[in-house]
Amino acid sequence: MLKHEDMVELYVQMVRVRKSDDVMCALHEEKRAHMFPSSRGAEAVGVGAVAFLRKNDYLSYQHRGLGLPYLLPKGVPLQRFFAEVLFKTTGTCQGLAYQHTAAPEVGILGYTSLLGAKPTISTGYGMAAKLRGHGQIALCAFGDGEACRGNTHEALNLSAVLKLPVVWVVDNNQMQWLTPTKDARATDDVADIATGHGIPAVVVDGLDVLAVHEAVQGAVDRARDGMGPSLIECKTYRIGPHDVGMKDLTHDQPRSLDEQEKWAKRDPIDTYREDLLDQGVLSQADVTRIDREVQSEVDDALAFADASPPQSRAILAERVYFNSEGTKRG
Amino acid sequence: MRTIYYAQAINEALTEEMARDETVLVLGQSVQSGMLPATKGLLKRFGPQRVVDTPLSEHAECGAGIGLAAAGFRPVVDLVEASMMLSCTDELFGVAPIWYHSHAVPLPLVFVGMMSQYNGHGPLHSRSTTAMALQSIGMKVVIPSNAYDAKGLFKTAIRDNNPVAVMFPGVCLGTQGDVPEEEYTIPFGVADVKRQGTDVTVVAIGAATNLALQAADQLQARISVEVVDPRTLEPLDIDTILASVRKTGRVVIVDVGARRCGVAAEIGMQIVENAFHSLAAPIRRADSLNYPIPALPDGEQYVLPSVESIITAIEEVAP
Repeated sequence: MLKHEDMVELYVQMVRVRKSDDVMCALHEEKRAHMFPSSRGAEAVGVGAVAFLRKNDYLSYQHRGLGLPYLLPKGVPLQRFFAEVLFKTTGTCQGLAYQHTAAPEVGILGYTSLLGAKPTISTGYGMAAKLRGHGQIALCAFGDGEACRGNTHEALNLSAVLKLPVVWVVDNNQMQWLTPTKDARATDDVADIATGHGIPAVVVDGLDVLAVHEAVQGAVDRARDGMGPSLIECKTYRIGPHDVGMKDLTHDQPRSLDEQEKWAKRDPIDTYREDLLDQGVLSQADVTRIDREVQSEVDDALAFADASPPQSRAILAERVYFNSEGTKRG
Repeated sequence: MRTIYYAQAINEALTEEMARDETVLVLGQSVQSGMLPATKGLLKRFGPQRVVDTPLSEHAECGAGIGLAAAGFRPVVDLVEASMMLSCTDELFGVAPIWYHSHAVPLPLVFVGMMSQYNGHGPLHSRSTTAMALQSIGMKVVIPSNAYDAKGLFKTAIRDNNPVAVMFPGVCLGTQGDVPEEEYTIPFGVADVKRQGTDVTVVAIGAATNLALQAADQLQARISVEVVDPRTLEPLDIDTILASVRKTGRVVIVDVGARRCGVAAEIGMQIVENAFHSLAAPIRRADSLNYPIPALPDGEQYVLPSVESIITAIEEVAP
């Protein structure tokens, strides 16, 4: 059972994610940000999984919200996130990568949008953590789509045979771009692919931040104790199209709005807020204050990004090789 | 100076670098077995933490290499055959080369593989992946043609802070060469003129270098052939190549990769762009014909560059 302050922390982080996501949607509307897959409905997965990791634990994030549900609780400064999507020098990748975040100081060494490669890279983080032997772990989050990639299976198997300290978190939002996942995989649960590789797996309600946290924490403890990888599948539902502004189809037909509204009623932030109010963990005044404080943080972060200098193509030559003079040794 | 096999030279390079730097480790299929030249004897000396046998999972091997490198280790991923690079294109050609561009996080990462041409391994395993590697901006590409170069360049690759693909021609592994006992490395981007000549320049890569040297021997009474081995294709020492072309005015380029959009096409175009007015004859390529490389013995000999095809090309351009 979490302490009250930790329960509040989960709430604050989810509010930060939602408000930042709203800003991204607005930036897209204003044509200032390009492709944006909103994280609406996915907040509880990232926040529940990541909020209480250690700073030096490695993280490979899932791409909804360009990672916002994972990045913010891990400690990536929001102002640097916004600066990145606006191609500013102060961005997490100095404005060169848009949808990538690197923040080595909090265990995020990069990202790849070649889905399937990310889990294999995470096995390397797990190997590094194991070699150092300081109780570090690697958490890798991916979606139901990435679960269909062959290299994801290679990564799961390698993590199992080498007993790596890796926690696999799956955000199963039931859609793979324009194809429903029920038409893209033959079993209901992505968790099945873990058990097939000898990895213990559980399925939890991905809209319940406490359930996600509890399940992931168990897996993190196992990994730290040298007991190898686990997989947590979090069932969610994608609200809206794959990317903001894109047609929202299932195969060639419009997606059911009734079904989306039904799921939207179970909004992970709204339901959690109600629970915290019911339990007296938060008061209405707290809720109002948190809302105001987060809004102010988000506004300031965007202002910082706006005021930052744009990156220029003059940097390109420096960003092919690192320390190329190092190769002249000998 | 002593004479050792090429295979021993690459084994010494990896052994010495693992002894020198405890962040160097090697992973791949059956690297613990002692059956592969680069990793023979490593398990006994460095243990299973640093000599890691993997499942048959090239994607995971390369991905693990990326993760380890980003996290501060210096992994060497032994893909056994260079053609296996086709099995892990996402990580090897897609992700690793651009990691530093995107994130400013360096990847000190080496991929090694044996080039299996001239072994009758057929169209898949004999396929060259060199041009694909060169199209992957951010990756360095090294093909040593003799034991001395192999040891010095492999050590440099392991100390480099970027992804490097080191390809060892299989037919070279059993060749012998002079390799000093003392420590040395060879810098990237420095071509080696393997034979001096005045009439025709032959730019030859990897296994083709030794074929070109044989061709030069056979022609020496009539044609003075200069053989330039770039040794590293990225970075490419185009200056040494151009200097030779300006001297001879005639050039043949030899590589085991397919002709279409191949390495020879790239080097030839750079010569045209930079030394067009020095050329006294059209550039000739003696690379692999545009066929799948057949397993059929006389077919492989026909499709791949040979001493005969190199001689023919030299004679076509010679004064």
